[in-house]
Amino acid sequence: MKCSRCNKNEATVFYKQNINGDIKEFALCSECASSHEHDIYAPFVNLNLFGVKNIPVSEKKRCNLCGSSFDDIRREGKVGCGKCYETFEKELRSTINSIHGTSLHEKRIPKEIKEINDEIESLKKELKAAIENEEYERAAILRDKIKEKEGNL
Amino acid sequence: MIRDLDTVISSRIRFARNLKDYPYTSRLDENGAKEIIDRVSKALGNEYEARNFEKLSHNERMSLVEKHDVSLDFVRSVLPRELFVKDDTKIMVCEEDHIRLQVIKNGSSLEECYNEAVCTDKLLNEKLNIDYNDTLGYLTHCPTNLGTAMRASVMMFLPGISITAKLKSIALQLDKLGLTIRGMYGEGSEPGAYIYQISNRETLGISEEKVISKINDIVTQITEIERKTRDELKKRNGISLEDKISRAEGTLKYAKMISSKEFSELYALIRMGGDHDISRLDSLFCEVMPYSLCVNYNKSLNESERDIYRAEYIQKAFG
Repeated sequence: MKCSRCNKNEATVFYKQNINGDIKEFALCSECASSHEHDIYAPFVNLNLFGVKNIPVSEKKRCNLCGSSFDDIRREGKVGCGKCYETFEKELRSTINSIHGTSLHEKRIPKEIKEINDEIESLKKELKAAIENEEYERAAILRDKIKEKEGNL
Repeated sequence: MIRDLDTVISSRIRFARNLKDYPYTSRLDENGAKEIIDRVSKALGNEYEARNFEKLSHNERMSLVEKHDVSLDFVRSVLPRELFVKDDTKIMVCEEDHIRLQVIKNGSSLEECYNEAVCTDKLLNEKLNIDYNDTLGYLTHCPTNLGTAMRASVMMFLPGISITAKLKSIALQLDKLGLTIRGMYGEGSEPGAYIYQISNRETLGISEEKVISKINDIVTQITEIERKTRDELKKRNGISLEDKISRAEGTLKYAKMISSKEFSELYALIRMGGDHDISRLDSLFCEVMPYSLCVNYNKSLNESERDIYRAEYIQKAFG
């Protein structure tokens, strides 16, 4: 069967579209299916994020909240509950690392705290300049200000 | 003020959250889902309106997908679900994660979306026991969302860049920055509208703020390139581009049948022409999508009926 779009190449990608019961069938060649106009129709292939190599896992180990084994998680590509992240911490670590390149979260810093942090940063710069200029009285005042701000955090 | 409406259609922030001590949705039963909906509803309070999602017709649900208020996965889910709404804030309960909180606004407005999303997020974190730990951040059903569990995205209108084939090189460079660009056509809408979505891939080990400023910076750069490219196109094509835009207006005003594919193309030309209220044009774009059209006329329409009603609807909108 020829591609219904370019009418040249052999069709290799088939799909049905159903809008309110209007069913349309399409047959496209791989080029037309992945051309940017049609890429919504290019088939989605699911790769296993957890890898397919046999990682030695104890089959008996199951999450005590949702009952998942690591095999279940690997098969579904998703954990069963939040507790799974504790139960299978070791098994999940390498996957998380390879997805994100890290396994350490960067927290949200509330606005108020960020403002104080910024103020401390600029006071520290002033302090450094004061010391370099041998303005020790000013430096002492700045140092106290920094301590006070840090106390507020 | 709405910024960069000529190149940016809308901005969106989305957070994924889960309740502690409940299985995630693939392992959740009906009662668990109902309990979670109940808890979220109480935590949100009266300011957030429950939309009674289970009672909506299929057409109504799909029209919410066309408006980007809910995801297709949410409609397809077999669990009890609920949608809560407060202004631009939409909360899907029992999507892939227990809670998907999103804020969408017109134009380039990621910061505004973020600030609003954080307000609701704070409320949820205060009132509910949310799954979180210090090393992995917010725990999510799929480990790809761990950390901030935040997806920031900007929908851009890029006819110039698209026509002049500059998209591929942009996509390659965005990839290096941990960002993704993809073609966006609403469910059931046709390609040809030159709409693209830019979003972050990283969620773990990068702060929310950094993600937003990275995307904003790129959007500003792409906006400049797009504007320059459009100016060049206008200079080079002169009257022939103007002619195309005017013809598009004529078609929208007088045609008796307009398919969604044709509308996408006319929309793009008219949006590029810039003589019309862009916000109105963008909302019209959603209103004449297949399911929204059925909801607006309060009946199920087949494809050729839709084309007739679409033309009629557009003419009313254009006055």
